[in-house]
Amino acid sequence: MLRKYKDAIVGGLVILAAVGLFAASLTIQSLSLNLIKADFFPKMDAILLGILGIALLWDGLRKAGQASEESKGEEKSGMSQGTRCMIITLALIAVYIFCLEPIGFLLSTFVYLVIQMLVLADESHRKKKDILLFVILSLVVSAGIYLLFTRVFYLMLPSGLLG
Amino acid sequence: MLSLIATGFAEVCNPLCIALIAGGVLLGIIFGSIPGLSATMAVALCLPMTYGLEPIAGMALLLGLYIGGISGGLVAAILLRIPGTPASVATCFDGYPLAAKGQAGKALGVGIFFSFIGTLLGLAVLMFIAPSLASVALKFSYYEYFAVGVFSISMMASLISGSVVKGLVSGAIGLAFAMVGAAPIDGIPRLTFGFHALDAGFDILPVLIGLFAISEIIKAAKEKGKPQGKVLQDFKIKGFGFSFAEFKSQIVNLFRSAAIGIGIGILPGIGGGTSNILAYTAAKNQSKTPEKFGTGIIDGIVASETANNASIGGALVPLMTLGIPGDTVTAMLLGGLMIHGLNPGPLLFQNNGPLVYGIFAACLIANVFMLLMEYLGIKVFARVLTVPKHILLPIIMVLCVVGAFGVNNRLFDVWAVLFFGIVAYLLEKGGFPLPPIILGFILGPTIETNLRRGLMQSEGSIAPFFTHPISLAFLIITMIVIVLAVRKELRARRSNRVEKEGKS
Repeated sequence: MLRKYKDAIVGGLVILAAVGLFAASLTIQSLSLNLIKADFFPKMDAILLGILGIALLWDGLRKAGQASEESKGEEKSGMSQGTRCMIITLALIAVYIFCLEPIGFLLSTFVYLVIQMLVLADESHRKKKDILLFVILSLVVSAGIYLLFTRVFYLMLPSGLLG
Repeated sequence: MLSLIATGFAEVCNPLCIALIAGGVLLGIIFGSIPGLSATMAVALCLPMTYGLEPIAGMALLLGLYIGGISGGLVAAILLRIPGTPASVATCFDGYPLAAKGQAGKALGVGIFFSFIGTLLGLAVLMFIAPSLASVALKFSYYEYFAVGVFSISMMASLISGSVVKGLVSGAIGLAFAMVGAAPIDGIPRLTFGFHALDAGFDILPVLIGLFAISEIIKAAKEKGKPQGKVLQDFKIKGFGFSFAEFKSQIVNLFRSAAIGIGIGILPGIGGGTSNILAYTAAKNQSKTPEKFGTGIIDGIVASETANNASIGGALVPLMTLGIPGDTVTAMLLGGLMIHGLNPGPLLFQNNGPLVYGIFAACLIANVFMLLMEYLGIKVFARVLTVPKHILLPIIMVLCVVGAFGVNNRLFDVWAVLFFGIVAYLLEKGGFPLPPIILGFILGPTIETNLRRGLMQSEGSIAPFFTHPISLAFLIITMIVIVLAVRKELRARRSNRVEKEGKS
């Protein structure tokens, strides 16, 4: 059902984005001394986006009408392994970024690397031997990157607890 | 001309630059050869390292990455039948079958050698036409720059994906991201929604890393559980694996593919990712024995690898002469130059001649390194392919975080990377191509500034945009390109429908 209307939904979202952009452009203050003001270009872009969105929506609705009874039974119930892995990965990245400053680069990177490798590896790569490899690799990589960037490229990375 | 090139070599012939070029090529080949990592990503991740370097040294590193990265794609294409980068999609068609017949050494040898020749021809054209083109571009005013900017975005939008409308949406989204922050000319804050961290707008680097690296990681996580391909490890490489007679038989193919590669490269926005497939198709159509294509003949490898590497020189032409990137990698090179306060464009040739010719020289040196390293180290690169994704991607992720953090030493840019990664993933899922977003983002300020300045100069009249011949020409070509692309799309759909109705 949803799949059939995918293009139409995408078109609708583009229109929404266009409306949002236009609304946001209305709040841009402008200095009256300029002939062409700062809100001119955003509004133009919003209008362009709106027109394109309408084209997508129209096209998507027509396609949905034609596709009618085809391609049924493709939808799977529940969440696939991939989707779950993706959501965990995204959450993990967010937590990692969040921890960078309070905990510091070294520690949070080490922990992130080990967990992320475990999450991405499939069952056959989660034996004891592999986990040991993950831990050693994570240690070497996080320390290596830290030293390379702070000592060679003079980039300040958050030092956190260890600093 | 010769003395200028000599100056260029003098600029880069010091231990630091040579080492950076060599390191760049090596890293580029590794990134290029691993599917999912691309030349674009390699350049994005190394860009922060160039902050502390001299401009020419920084460019030497980035150009090494570019040339190594585009060529490196052939390793996975031949040994794994998965293109290492989009630029080597067509290399799979004949490269893998040839390798599967037990002639992997020959396939690799041909690919490496013609990568080298392709790059060389592209660079020759670059050095030959860029200076004269730059002197023409010197006469451009606001109107011309506006028209060229619009032309570039619509060109990419209509050529790169199946759907013109979706391509244009991507471009418009890129423009919208570019608007965040202080407006050009009057500096009025726009679309910051009260976040002061957004006052200066999004930095190019987080946008690039997010779009091209994080989205890959999200995709890889989603694809967990799908088996990885098997790498052919057992091969010998002797000489370049082909005879002089075979070389002679490829000369027409070589020059045709190089011409396609250079032409596509020069067109703004599209590069090796498009040219390799076009050259392959052209070689097949012109061949007396088209039925042999796909069975593992060297013609296919020659066409694809010559064209994608020739696109490098081509893509550098608009970058150097107009400041308009020819593909996604040159978009980042543009960022690399701007970090050092250098604005690519016709003035660069006047004000920074030695740097310009230094860039040319760095490309030539990188090309030689590419040939040597790929030839001598091919066994190593084949091994690199077996490194599992679940180890590689987390490390890449950490490098993304470091790179984004390095831009301004603040976490905000790291969050921006994650944001753009998610946006990119969703857009790709919706069928929107990513490269036009980058072009829109980069050219947005150019287009807007020149539009507003132009309108101010003409006191609000849009007439000059159509009365200046060069500007008019670009706007007309833009219209033609869009109309043709829409027509092609409509026609393809109609024939699709007829087919369907015929079946039912």
